[in-house]
Amino acid sequence: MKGELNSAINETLSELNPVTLHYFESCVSCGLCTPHCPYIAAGPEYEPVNKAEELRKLWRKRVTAVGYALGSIVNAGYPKGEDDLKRMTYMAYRCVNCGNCLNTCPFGIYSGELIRILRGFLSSIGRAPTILKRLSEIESGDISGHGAVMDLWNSTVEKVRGGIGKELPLDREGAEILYLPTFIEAILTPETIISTSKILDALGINWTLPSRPLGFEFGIGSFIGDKESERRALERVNSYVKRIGAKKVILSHGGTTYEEMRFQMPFLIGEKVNYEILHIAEYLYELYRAGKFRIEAGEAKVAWHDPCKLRNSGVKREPREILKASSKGYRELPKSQGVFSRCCGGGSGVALLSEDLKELRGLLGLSQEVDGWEAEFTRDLMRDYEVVMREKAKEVVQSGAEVVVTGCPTCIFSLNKGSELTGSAFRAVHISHYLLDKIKL
Amino acid sequence: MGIYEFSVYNMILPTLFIFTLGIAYRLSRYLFLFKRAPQPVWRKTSPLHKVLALIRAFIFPIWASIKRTKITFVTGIFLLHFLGVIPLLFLLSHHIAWWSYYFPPYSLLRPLAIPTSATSSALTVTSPVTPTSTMSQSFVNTIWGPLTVILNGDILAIIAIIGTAFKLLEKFPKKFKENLSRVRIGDFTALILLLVILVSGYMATHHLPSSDIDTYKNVLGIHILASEVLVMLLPFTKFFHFVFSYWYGKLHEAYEMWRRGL
Repeated sequence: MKGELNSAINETLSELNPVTLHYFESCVSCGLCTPHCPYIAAGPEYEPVNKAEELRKLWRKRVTAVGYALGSIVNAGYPKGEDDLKRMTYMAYRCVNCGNCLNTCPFGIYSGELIRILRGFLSSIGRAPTILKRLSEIESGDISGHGAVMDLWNSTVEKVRGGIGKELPLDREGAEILYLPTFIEAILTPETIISTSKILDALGINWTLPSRPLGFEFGIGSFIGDKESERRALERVNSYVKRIGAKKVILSHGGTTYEEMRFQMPFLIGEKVNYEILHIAEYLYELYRAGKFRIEAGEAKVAWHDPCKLRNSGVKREPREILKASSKGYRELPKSQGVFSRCCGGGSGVALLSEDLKELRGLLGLSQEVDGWEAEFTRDLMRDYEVVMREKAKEVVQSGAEVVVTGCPTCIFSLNKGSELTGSAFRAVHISHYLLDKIKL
Repeated sequence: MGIYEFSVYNMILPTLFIFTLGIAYRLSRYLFLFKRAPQPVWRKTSPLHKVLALIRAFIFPIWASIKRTKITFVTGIFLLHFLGVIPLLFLLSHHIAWWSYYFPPYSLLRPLAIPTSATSSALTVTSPVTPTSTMSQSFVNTIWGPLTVILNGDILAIIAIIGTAFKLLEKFPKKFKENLSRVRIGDFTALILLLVILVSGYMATHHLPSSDIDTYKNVLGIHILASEVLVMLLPFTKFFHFVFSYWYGKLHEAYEMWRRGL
């Protein structure tokens, strides 16, 4: 255990760069990030700074002279037993990496990034949820050979074909636009893929779609800090895009997939990309502004929920402008909007552990049985996830919105689950799905 | 040799030496860890957007604090920093004289000097004592005009002491009741040191606990020595935010906001 621990710490701290160094050593423990973390609703110990402290303890012990000499007196030390590991795992997975801690920190410290590194450390010592670990392992290779992946994908592609009413432009080299849906979307929100494809087809765009799924989320390894899996998944996607030769890649997944593709890919694969990566909301806004279509306005009570990775990437105005054009009943969610928007609670792999996805996990050939620490861990995490979903649902109810439009399958899943848990009447849909019958040429 | 002589004549250079060495050590780590990497296609933003991003990076946490952590905003940000330590440290007339002695160009800030008292040549409005020297009216007739009612050493010191004491007391339940491991021994010692500096400075100004010259020199000596300890510890403690971490963090955040189009 000691040797494993040492090598895990060395590997974890090898990620140090000036920015992570700043994150490690500049926190003054002011706690301004506390009320902005969605998981604070599950308990005061889940404030971002307290969660990041778990990694800082390791860092102090390994890197600082005072930490090495004084140990626990100055909050420095390595995990000593099951209690420490359990606490660290609980802390690491009560974070969805939404970035609210960064947006509200007076020192620009991203505690979520430290918590992501903590997840990597825990994975190295065998403390990653089995389901996420397996998904990460599978995504580091070609996912299409696993379980019923191709059956599910083909079924979605067939629905798209049925919806459009003609043959699909699959893997068409030289297409200007490449639409890249993820396999998670095929599972959670197949209607998003169908709607997005129908819109692209209706607009007469030279587009294409992959005939095989390129990944679960294009970087699912990030959920357990597995950089090698992330790198391999993104390299595969990048190779495919280069083969097609598309100028623009359109994503309908505005969560981790967008962040990984848009901003992390060059760092991970060590190569600059020469194509544009856009979320469908950005792309539609671009076309709408250029007068390529008009939007039929209605009266629906509709609100936009900012997926955390989209809002942290500057995509806030585009979906709002489109939704305002689509309905006079548009309103903002009252408590948190734009850059302070409260996350749905399901990001960074939390939703993938949900009991509701048990059947689908079975179709992927993933083992459902977990024991020991993981059984208790998963049960408690799902309990806390429900608390966060309920909080978010209350906010939607307060807004009076009947439809919450968003741009991420995890947000849609969590918001709809929250609506169900609180007995609310609102429903969450993807922006492509919402706009499908409102776009007029 | 008394504590005053020791702090003024013996400790200035060692303090500066340790401070400079510590700062060089901390900054060199940032430089040595830097390495280039292929960049994504960042968003193209206008110069105006860049300026707004810079402003937002500084304003967002303050705004978020006003909205969601009002008590922390009032005590930790407003009282302790904005009204307390920052104007006291840089603009209190005594401190301007001190800084100007070691760094003469600092005397340019003399017109902005904050007096000890708001209204009279007496040393204080809150704890009247007999002045030990005659003070001219012009001393309290400052550029701050009626704002001198607040911007005076007495009020600002009391505000800073309240803010610091509150932050210190607030740590106890977080550490011992809520059992938050992020509250560390360094949080307590840093605030206690700051409190010692503030209280001893206030006491020295008011010739407390007695007005005899030896007591005055000892209290002032404690004030200067504690400040020197803080300066020496600054590169190795949370006080580092004052000279580097805060500015680096905010500039990096603004840079990210430019690039991401936030």
